[in-house]
Amino acid sequence: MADSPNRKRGRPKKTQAPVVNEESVKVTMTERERQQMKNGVGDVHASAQVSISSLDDEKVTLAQIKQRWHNVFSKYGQLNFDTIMSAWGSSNNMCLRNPFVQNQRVKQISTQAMKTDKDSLSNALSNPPQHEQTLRSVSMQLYYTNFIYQNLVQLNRHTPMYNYYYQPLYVEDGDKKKIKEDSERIDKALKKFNPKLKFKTIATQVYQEGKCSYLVRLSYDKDKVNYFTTQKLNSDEVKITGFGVDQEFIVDFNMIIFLKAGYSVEQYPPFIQEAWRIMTTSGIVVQDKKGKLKLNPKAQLPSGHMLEMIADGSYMYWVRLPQDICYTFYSDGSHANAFPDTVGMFNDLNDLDDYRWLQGNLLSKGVNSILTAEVATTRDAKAGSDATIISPDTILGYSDFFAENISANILGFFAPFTDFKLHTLENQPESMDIIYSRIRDLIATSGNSALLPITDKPSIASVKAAEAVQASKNDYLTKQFQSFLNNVINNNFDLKCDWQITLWGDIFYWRDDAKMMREFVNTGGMTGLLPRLLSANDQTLEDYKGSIIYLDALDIELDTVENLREQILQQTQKEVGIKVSAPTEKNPVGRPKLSDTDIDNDNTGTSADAGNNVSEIKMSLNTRYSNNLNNNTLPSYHYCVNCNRELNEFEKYLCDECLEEAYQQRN
Amino acid sequence: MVYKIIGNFDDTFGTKLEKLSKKCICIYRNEALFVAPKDVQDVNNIEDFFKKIFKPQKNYFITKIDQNNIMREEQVVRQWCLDSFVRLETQLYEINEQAKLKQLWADMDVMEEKLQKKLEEQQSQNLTQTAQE
Repeated sequence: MADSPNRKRGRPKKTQAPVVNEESVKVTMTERERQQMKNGVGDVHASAQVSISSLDDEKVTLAQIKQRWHNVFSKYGQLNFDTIMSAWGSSNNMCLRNPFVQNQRVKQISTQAMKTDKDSLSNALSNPPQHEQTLRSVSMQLYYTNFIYQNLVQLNRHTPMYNYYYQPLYVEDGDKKKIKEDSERIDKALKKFNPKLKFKTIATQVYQEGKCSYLVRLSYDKDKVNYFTTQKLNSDEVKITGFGVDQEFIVDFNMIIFLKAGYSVEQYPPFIQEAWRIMTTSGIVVQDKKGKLKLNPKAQLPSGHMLEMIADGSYMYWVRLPQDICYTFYSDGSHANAFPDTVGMFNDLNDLDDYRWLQGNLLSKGVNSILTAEVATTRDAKAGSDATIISPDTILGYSDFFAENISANILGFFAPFTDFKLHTLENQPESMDIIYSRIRDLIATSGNSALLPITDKPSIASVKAAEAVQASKNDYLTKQFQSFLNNVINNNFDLKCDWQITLWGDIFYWRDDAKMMREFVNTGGMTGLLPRLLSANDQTLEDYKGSIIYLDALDIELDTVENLREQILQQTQKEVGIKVSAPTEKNPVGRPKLSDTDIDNDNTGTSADAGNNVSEIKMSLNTRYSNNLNNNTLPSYHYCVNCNRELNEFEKYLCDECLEEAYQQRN
Repeated sequence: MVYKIIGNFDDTFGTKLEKLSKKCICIYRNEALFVAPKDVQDVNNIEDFFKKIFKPQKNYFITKIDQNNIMREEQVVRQWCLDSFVRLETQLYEINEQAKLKQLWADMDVMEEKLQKKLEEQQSQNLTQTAQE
């Protein structure tokens, strides 16, 4: 930079910093801003642009608010609390900071639970498609109050495991860099989403109500996924209006919900905010003189929007939601009705209360025997007169004395009759069994008596069949979740390759699947199945890679199992002086014992329960083995324990001849 | 939101400081000028404000002081920066709280109007019933 003639050399003189003017600046609201605040127009953030003013009348304090509430309740105390609260709720169209209002809002994501009488329920069941909301209400009521129904619904949540893994599709060797970048992003997205927990919650909601719709909420930067989750839409504000290409059902959403207290369009994704903006700018939603928002039914509607007037004069404003924003999950896709699959049990479940009443009555009146006796009459007894030698009052006294001192199941009856007998009521229904039998029948009706047994132990065959059916039933919803993840992840995260995310596993068979995967990978050389194998242990390939690097970073080394075994055997050989070789798993003695989960035959199960499934060969072997020990000879793996012949490399403990002989004897 | 400005502080420094002091508080230490806005509402457009004052821009180097580089400064400067951070955050908090309370006050106005109306309706109904009896 060239020196100018006026520029002085050297460091400028140090000047004292100017005194800060800390005098407060008084700012007043304009009249327009004051009116806006009064009418509730604009959001909270806009109003924050007003500068604060110190120590003047414009400031509002908590003490003032408190005093004002006190005045409200004093002045309007003769109006009841509900009236005051409803006036408060409607005065503030956002109510975003009121915890009571917000609590009510979040509870409305599911249909409100409602107990219905028998007639209303029968009426609803006679025409289910026209009574979807009633049936959903009954389902929620039963879910909260009937533990059996809750167990039946939650069985669908507990059964699937939602193990997940992901792999690229249609890739070549040259795509490795792209795969690496995408893999990390998908891993972060799925960890944010937490499929194992999220899908279990969604599954419970779907089986409660039949069909549920969810909005996708996600946000990510270059290296970070900020959030990825789903937001449930209120079941009563959603209507199925079509069939889609990417998913089974398309839904419409009722935008009038944003005129209710506690709801804000900012709680929803940009598409809905944009729809609301169109509604407010095109005159569909207008403000009245008080600043409260209301619907203008005469406004012209944009395409895709529909206005519906219902019987009580209120309106519903329907906006179709695109398939890539709103996903609808269903327990039964064969129809478009939004009620649960369990409606056929509602009558029986509702009647359970009647059985409780019956049981209670029987318990309170447990009469099963009647003792009868005769009161003697006088010699000249005449018809029409009381000719008993004991007065009726005395008879009653004796009856009361009897009742007080004898157990309640015997009723004493004294009268001047002849031919008395003691009658014991046989075949009296055991009152404790009434409710128990009814519950058992209900569970049997649901088809889950093998999985929720309350009787004698069900047979293994029936348990296995029930497990298979339950797993298949839940797989129907799991496939929907899988399709959802594939659509969202592939279309929303700027991935360079196509990816396939797979969900698998149920609590009955996941161990068998994992065992099979292990064999394929270890012995079959199919290392491409490693992602699926790792997912059985809640790990992804990224996790596995990370843990290897972690071990390396901490300088931890692990010997393989074979190396350790070999070291131990060599050590033993040195100490004992006898050549030993490691037992292998390839030639175990006899047929290995089946684990409990592998037993699928009733006879095998009975044998296992009785302890008869241990082979005699092993028992024989154990006996001989212990004899060897008693003779103070060390275990030798090179000689037949029966005939002491030297064994070849494929034989273990017993030579082939002895083994064959033992089997023949057994059979 | 404290800024450190290093540059050619020549004869016009006094003028620049006068302009700065309208919206900012400053200290000069070790040949660097540390500037913090007075009002939290000016934070968003403070950089444009600096561009207008400190010209030509190539003669001045402006950096933001944050938790990553504050420890490089000496103790006096560090304390001043922290005090400025606290002052601005407190202002922001007070603004937001006051906005919420004012919104609440406005809502209570609307609520009282509705309740007054309901009370008058109830009183007129009571009068009607009494008259009928």
